[in-house]
Amino acid sequence: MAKERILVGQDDAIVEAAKPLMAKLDAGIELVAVGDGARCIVAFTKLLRAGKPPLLVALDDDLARIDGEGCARAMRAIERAFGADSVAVLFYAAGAADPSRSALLKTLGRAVHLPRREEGTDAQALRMVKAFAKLLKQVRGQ
Amino acid sequence: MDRKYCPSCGQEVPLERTLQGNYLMIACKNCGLGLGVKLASADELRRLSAPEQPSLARVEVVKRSRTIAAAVEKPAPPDPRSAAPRQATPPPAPAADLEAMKRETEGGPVRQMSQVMLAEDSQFLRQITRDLLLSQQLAKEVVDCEDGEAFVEAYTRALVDGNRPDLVVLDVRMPGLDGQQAAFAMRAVETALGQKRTPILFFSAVLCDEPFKAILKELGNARYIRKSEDGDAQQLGERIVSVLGRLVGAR
Repeated sequence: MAKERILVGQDDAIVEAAKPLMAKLDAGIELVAVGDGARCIVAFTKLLRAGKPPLLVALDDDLARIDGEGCARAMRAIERAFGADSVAVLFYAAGAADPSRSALLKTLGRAVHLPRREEGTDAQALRMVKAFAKLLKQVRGQ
Repeated sequence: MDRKYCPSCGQEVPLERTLQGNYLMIACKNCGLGLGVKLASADELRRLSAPEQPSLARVEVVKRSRTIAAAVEKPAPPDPRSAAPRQATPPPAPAADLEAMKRETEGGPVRQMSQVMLAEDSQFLRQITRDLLLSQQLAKEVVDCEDGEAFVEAYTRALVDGNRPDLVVLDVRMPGLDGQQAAFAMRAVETALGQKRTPILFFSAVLCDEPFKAILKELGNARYIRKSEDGDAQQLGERIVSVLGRLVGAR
């Protein structure tokens, strides 16, 4: 059976540490990590075109070429072009959501903000996977 | 009374037209701007007096405080190189890139693009660029988008429908998804859908510095035009058309 995907716009040690944790939590889900915003859009568009949109997209704010916000905006535009439903988006960024971020989340719809904390790689990976699990529960419950 | 885009406030407002000697006076009911359009000929008078949008074949703008005097002149005589009527030119093949587009038309007939996609957040600039592209017969169709997101949506839909534009014109500074990010998103969509790179023409008020040159190189098949220093929308519209004209051999 083909695995469902979570697209992660962040390719670092935290995501690598999160992969086995996610597999342990749900073996039917694969974390697909891409290192910059443009690659994230390529992967997202390919999945939409194949009729297999990701369950959710997690975006780091500081992605190269297209930042997290730009990626999310472009993804919503591409979804509209394909006539697809909005995929849930999780922003993974330093600090709490400020008013402009809150406004963006509202504009995008189906988007949440997870503040990044100053902690070790494993602890950050665990927090990330817990956030994915919580969001997946909401996504699947709809 | 027509509803037109005012070049001062940018709003679509009722514009009142009256004839005063050699000038067609147009007044904006929203901001009070006065436009004096110099009539070059009886033909021009007929065209401008018609209910349709006047042709903006060539517009010269002189700002005087809150008054803009626009002199509409006769269109330039047809280029002797293009003896055959434009309508008789066979439909062009999609341009492989900007250089190829230029090479294939140098010394030859005018090459009219099937479709140009334009992303610009200024309503007035969109309108005037669109009018100029169409009136100069540089493009058969202009699809205009008010921001980067609308552009990415329209461009993706165009690729999915097999209706790739010949050229994309992008403002660099736009709210939300800016021109640079929109261009990277556009290239990403092309890659995902296995499509060729559509030429991009950026325009911006900022200088094309080394970092931006590197971005142009990375995007591939991309050029840049600088907006005029005083931000004059009509002048920029003319510059865009002038550059496009040179690229496609129209000037």
